[in-house]
Amino acid sequence: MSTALSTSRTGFSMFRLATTAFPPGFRRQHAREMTAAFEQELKRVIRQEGRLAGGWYAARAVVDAVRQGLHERVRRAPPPGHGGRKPSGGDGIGSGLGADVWIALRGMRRSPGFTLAAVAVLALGLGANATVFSALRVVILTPAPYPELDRLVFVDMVNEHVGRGERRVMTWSYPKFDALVEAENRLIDPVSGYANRSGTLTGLGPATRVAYELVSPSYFQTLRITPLVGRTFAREEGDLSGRHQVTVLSHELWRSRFAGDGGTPEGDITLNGTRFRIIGVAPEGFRGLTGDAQLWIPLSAADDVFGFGLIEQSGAGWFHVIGRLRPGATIEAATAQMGTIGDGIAETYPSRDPQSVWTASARRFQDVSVNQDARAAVVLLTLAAAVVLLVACANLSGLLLARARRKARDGAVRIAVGASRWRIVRASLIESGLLAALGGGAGIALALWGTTAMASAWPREFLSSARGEMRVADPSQLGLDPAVLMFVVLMTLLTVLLFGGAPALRLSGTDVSLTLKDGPGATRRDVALLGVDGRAALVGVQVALALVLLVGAGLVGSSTARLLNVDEGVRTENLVTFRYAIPETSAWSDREDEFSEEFLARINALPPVVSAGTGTTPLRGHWAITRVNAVEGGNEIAQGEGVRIGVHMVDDRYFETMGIPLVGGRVFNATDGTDRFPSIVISELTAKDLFPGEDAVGKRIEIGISGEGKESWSEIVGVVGDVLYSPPDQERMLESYYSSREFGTASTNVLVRTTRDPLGSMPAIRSIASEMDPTLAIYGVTTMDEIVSASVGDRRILLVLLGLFAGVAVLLAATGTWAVVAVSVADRRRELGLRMALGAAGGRVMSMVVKQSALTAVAGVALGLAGAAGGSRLLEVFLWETEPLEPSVYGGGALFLLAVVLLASWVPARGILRLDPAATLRSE
Amino acid sequence: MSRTTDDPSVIEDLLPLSPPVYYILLALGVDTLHGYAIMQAFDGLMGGTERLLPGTLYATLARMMETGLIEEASPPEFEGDPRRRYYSVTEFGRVAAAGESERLRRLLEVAVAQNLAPGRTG
Repeated sequence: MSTALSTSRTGFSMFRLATTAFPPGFRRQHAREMTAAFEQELKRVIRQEGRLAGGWYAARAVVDAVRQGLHERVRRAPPPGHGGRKPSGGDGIGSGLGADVWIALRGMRRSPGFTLAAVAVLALGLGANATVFSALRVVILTPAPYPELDRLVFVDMVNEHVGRGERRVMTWSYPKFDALVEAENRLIDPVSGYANRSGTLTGLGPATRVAYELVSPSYFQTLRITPLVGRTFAREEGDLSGRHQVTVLSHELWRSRFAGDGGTPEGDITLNGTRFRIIGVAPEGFRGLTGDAQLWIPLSAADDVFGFGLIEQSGAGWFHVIGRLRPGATIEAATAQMGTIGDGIAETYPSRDPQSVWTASARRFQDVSVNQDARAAVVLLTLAAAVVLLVACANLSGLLLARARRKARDGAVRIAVGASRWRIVRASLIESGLLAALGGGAGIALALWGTTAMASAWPREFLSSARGEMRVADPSQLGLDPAVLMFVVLMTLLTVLLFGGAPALRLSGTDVSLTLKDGPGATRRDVALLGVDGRAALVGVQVALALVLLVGAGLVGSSTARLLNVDEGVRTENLVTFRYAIPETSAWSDREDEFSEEFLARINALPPVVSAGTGTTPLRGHWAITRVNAVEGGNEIAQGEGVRIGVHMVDDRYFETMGIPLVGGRVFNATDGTDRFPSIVISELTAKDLFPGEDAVGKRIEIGISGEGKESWSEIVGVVGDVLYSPPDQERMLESYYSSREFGTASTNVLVRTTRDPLGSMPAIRSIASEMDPTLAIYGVTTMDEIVSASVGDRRILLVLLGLFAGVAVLLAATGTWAVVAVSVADRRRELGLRMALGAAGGRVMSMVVKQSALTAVAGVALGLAGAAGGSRLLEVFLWETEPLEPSVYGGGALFLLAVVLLASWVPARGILRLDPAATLRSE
Repeated sequence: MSRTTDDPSVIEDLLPLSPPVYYILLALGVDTLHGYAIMQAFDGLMGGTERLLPGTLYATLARMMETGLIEEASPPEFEGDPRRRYYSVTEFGRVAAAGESERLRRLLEVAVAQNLAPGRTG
């Protein structure tokens, strides 16, 4: 009997709870009677049919009461615009997750504008993040694929200049490397040298240009690379004593040339005319540390492929060295030991310059294998993308809050009828989750496109490590692999919690009785009051974050603009450069000067050509960089102490063609280079530096360039304008020119200035070349504008992406503001109308609304300026002649954003002017 | 709310009556009953095969009052429970019930003709 009693008690309290589903008016009239009837009937059922039937009856009655109660509420208070809709009977709160998902989907279909906006905002945020994360993964997160990476080290030759305090990492020469290999009890063992070169491969089908590496025999063991077929180099194959012309092929080359039949590769290849016996094949995908090697030959074969005695030169560094730490050895100990070994090597091969001290050192492989510029750029972009996502989240929170306001009544009803607050939060999270899933999907599609675009725009400087030791990032790896997809899923989850959770919690905290108060007008205002500050704050956050990105993009943009607008010292427009190569089989091969003269004369005769000349360096780079050893009439300069000076070999029309102005004296003419007294032309900066306050023309300098039967002193015949042969963000150097006749260094680098599109003249130039010799190759066709813009390099991709991110953020902040003002105007329709009815001018009421959002914007801008100032330090490495706190960028960004926000609030605020004060009064 | 039977379209609009409304009209008949009594009466009429649950009962009663199918009646003198409200069918309710019965009768005839009504056939 006691169990029957407890069944009836449980049933009774459940039923009484269920009756709260009915609207209050109904409850007042019927609840007690209804509950009493339930109780009586339940007792009767238990008495007559048993407890089980009683329980079943109670359950059915509870569900029925909730259903009818909700039904009754809907019937009594039809929502605006749904007056005629017949309630579907409802599934109350008894329904589960599936129902919530279905309800959310239905809601999304009913408000396509909101859904589209939310999905677009999310797609932008997640797509940007997935793209940038993909880059982050390639540049930083993916370790090099070599086992026991933490024991792999680079061994550097280091040159320190005592006088100038310079420390430079250098390459190794063979004799010095040999001394390193011979050093006893090394903590780094083995050590392996490697260098990459390109050469002509013959003997296997058509002759092709291939990249290859010259390596120590231990190279493969050091990297722990085992051959797919055959073997790698044996120790004795590194010896100089014998002639070891053996090669290991890359898997790709082996497969393409030998059809990769799996058997032991046999046969020879011919590289630069020397035959090498194939001894093995590297595993698939391995292309050497430099990333594009097709085959490997021993370092000791260098002289065979280069054709001159490089091996014996102790002063000529030409390869890098890697090694492995012995078990138990630390990098610190190894570095110290390398210093000692390096000092010993320097004693064996003393420097001619006492100020120049050579030694050796070691660096962790990982420190080299990350391109620091790429790393900085990618980290910066990752942060920027995260900021975009934050703005997107804030924007979506605003959208959802505004939407929650409309749905507050629904939520309050559900809370009133006993739905737990968790249930309300869950429903809201489900909705956000669905939006996030859609947005995430669209974001992945966007990232697919983004990574492809990024791979093609990947700066060349980012491909290899800072000093070209190795290939560090492969842009073809940019893409959506499981790691990136996992990242998107994580970001999506985070986003859901960030932007879905907040409005839901707010809604779940809604004062139910306030919301349910009769009269839709009252409800609206009450709920709106609860949320208006929150939404304004969200807009403030968006404005602040957008400004941070805007300032970042502005700083990089200003740097890039300055780099592009820097005075190159030449007229870059309508100027094209190309090279030509005379094959040995050509009749011209022993008359190159003659060829050059005739070729240039014929190009100069072309109608659109203003001038054509040759020079060893079109722009960016030098034929040589030496030091000024002596200046006529100047102080004595210690050996190796002179200032650095760039040297160029040019023909008589070079200055005219490049558009380099003559400042004093003359340019070269046919008399130069004909006797034993060299003539030199120097730049204005050089003249000012070497002969301050004097006329340099007629003076003599000695810069260590000499030739057979030539005096070591050169006479300055002219001074020309400064040209940026070094990239603009590097130290400006002194520059000098010799006539190409002076030391017999005729250049095959042709420069052509035209009256119109310079590339348009190339077909005519090519046909001249092929008339003179059909086997002649013309290559490396580049316009000067391309050369200049290439030097902006890594800043360009950074600028494009930062600009894109900033644009998206500004757009989001603008729409966020617009939405908040529009909603707030709608919420305050009665209040604003009342003010107007009481005599306030529409314009004044409107400006009051705009002023409120202006205040939010000003607060956001202040916050954003502070954030940008803090974040700008991250940008410093990418700035050139731009201060991280450049006032014009900050001021411009702030003003621009304020203008955008004001416009975005002015547009919806205009709706106030259309308010009818009389109608407002009537509705009161 | 007052309704007249003069306008047949008003009745037409109500038909078909939802099962609970029809059940309540049948249970009330010519009597004046309170809610729980209606449940019991209905139970008696249907022999326990159908149940009128309290939520449905009271919500339906409220709607029927609004529609004018039933009206609140004064409780009999012996009623000791002040919570109880008594209801009786209005003239309008009677016409509506008759209309629904007629509709069902016609349907039943069709069902019999189509041999879709089990049990007594002749």
